[in-house]
Amino acid sequence: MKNKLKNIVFFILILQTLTLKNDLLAQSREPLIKAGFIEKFTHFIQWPEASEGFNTTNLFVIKVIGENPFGSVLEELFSSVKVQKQEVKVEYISTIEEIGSCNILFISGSEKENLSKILEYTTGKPILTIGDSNGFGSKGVEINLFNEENYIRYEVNKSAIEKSVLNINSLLLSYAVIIETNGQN
Amino acid sequence: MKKVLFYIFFLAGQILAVNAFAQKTDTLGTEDILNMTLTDLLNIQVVTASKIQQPVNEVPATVFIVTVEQIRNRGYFTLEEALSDLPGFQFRNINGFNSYIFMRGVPSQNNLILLMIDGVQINELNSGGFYAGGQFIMSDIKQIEVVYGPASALYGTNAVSGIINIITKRPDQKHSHISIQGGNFNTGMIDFNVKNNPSENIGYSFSGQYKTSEKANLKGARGDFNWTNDMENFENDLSFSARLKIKKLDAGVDYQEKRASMTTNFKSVDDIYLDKNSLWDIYFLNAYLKYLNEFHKNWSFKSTGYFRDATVKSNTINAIVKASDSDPGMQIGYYRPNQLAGIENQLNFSPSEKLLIIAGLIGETEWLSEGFSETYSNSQAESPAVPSKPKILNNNLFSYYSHIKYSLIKELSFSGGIRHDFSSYYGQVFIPRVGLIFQKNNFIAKVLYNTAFRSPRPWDYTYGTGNENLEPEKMKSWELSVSYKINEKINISGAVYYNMISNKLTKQTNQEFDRWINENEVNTAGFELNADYIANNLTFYINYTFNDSYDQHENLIPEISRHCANTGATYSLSKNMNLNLRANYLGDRNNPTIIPATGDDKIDDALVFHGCLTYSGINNFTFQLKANNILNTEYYHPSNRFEGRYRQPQRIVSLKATYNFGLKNN
Repeated sequence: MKNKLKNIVFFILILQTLTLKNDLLAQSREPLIKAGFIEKFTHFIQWPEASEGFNTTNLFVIKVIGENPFGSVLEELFSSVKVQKQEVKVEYISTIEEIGSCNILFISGSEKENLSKILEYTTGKPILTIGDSNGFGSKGVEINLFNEENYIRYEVNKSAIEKSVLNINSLLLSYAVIIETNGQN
Repeated sequence: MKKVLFYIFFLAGQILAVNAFAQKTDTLGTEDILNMTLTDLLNIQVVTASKIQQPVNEVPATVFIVTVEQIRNRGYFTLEEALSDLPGFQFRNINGFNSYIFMRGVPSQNNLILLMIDGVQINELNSGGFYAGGQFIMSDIKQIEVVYGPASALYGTNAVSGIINIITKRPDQKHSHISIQGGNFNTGMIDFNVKNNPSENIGYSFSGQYKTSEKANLKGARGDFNWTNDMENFENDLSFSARLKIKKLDAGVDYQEKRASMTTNFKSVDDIYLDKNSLWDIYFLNAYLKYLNEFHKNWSFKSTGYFRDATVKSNTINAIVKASDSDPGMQIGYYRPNQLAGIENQLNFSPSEKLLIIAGLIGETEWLSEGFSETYSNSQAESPAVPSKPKILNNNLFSYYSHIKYSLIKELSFSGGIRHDFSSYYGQVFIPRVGLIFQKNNFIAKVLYNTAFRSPRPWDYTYGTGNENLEPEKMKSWELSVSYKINEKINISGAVYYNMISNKLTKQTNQEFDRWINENEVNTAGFELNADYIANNLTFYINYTFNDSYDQHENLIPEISRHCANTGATYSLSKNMNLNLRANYLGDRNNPTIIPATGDDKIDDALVFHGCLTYSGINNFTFQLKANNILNTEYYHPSNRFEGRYRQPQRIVSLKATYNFGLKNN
């Protein structure tokens, strides 16, 4: 009797596994999680009042320069939230001239060669620079996301932040890998 | 054997069927991401509860994490401090060579909890009990995973009340620091850490630490007149840790040596023992080599070889008997070497988000002292001869385990597993566990049935007059745990459990010596409530635990309080400064014996406050001012050693300075 019962359970479970064929194709979580980090960063960073004059669109503007690593998730994620009580606009750009007066600039890894020029433009402006490329943090990008054994972490270039007009909450720092370099290397 | 075949075929059937049809899925959506906090996104994952990395909400157990931020902001100095703010913990701190940690209402000699560093056990081999105290390099800890409830179905013996896994920081960041700390009661600490990753595939780290403390003032009246005004008490810990990562290989070595006074192990007033010059010198050496290969997107293989050494060194002076008019007294020397070598191979198969299968094989061989080798000197002042090597017992263990997590529907998953031990020491033990996990939006519920066992160790058989007839302690546990994230800032959780331990080892005292016997049952009904709040400048937690632990005669279990509660907050005063304040409340409880100082067996309840101020605004320096027992509250812990109780440390204030070289890894 016991064996019969075990066999029945066994075959039921096999049948159940057949239903798995309707599963969706795998999609990497990384872009979504990175987009999530960008959204969380906005809770811990205060843009100065002056930025209202700097960005006159009444929108909170996020720009991605270079190849877009996010697909559509950045727009999807920010479509249902407000930042600093403002609707969020996501734009994809390819030149430094297009940076204009955004609040967050995500610098794609494809802009490695132009990084110093981009940072030259953003330094002193109320623009939070974010990257996800090895070495970007030590080169002066304020927050750099990286993958540590399949966990997304972030490093904060404290010197770059201190030079900027942004106010970063210490709790954000407490979860970060802190970089003390001045971005000149 | 039939059972084994059934499970092999069962697993094979699952693997074949799923592999044929399933494709990988990912149910994580933008809404889930928006509902997560920053710490969620940091994706704190645990390896302890299921032996692989899984998010906390997916593991079949109640899990709490002590994070690196909490360790740093609260200035935790010892392991027991780091656990003291979690729900469900009570303590018997003897202010001596060990400190005892009780989880979910069960007192023990630390042998019902499994303690691990990076997944390798560090419980003392001869007794099965771990050593709490200061030998852990707190600055090198990434997180402490605390798994509540039995887990023998994965970890075998000793995983009865729960598991504590200390995860060290990874050697893949460039970071170095040196710290120095000093405080009253001759409390001092110096530690350093060097981490480097010269290339993408290579990382190494090396950490060292020396800690010393006299812990408390227990002299004369301050210690209930258990000891004289000349008593000596100290704990000195020396620890090193090294890690090397080369591609898929991880190697690690941990060395901890604890040198502590044995004064508080006995009374000296109205007893035969001297309260100075004794020394308990024990070291723990753990070394491991891990190989992880994710050779296919659905398959991964992990192999871990490990060697463990837990030796009470031959210079140990367990006790000194005072000289009297008729007796010159003596010093008693101890020596007890123990080693273990083992290998664990684990295969993980996850063909889809719906199914996860873990299967593992473990082989271990251990060489344990049958008992202490002892020597006796001819007087109180004379050192004893170095004890010879005691008789060594060789035990072998072979185990296999298998666990499955299967999503029945999107919101509901089944988790079940078995472990089967074949030991030359304690025979065959078959341990099952099952659980259901429900998760919808911000709500998680887990229904769990777990079993566990603890086999007696040589120390149990030989302690005091000895008892050859001891049998394993066994536990059955039912648990319902829930958690709900009200919004991004507030999370609440709770667990209700009922645990039954049979064959509980109980200390039997006769006129001259003690021994362990299987006598008691411990039945615990309890619940834990916890709430966390995290805002921009403030993190806050509060938890409460109720434990009703009683034996087969409906008598309350001594040393266990019905009520304990903890609360605390960390507030960012500025960008570079934060203040942590916290409080621990433990209700009254019974002492195992009548306390001479009070004439009854009551240990009063106590509310104790601690604080820590951290400042990191000067270049690469961090300064931390810490105060334990801020209000200098007089409170006590029970004693199962002598008729009396243990006064707990008075206010301890310390200052720590840390210098971070180059990159600062928080």
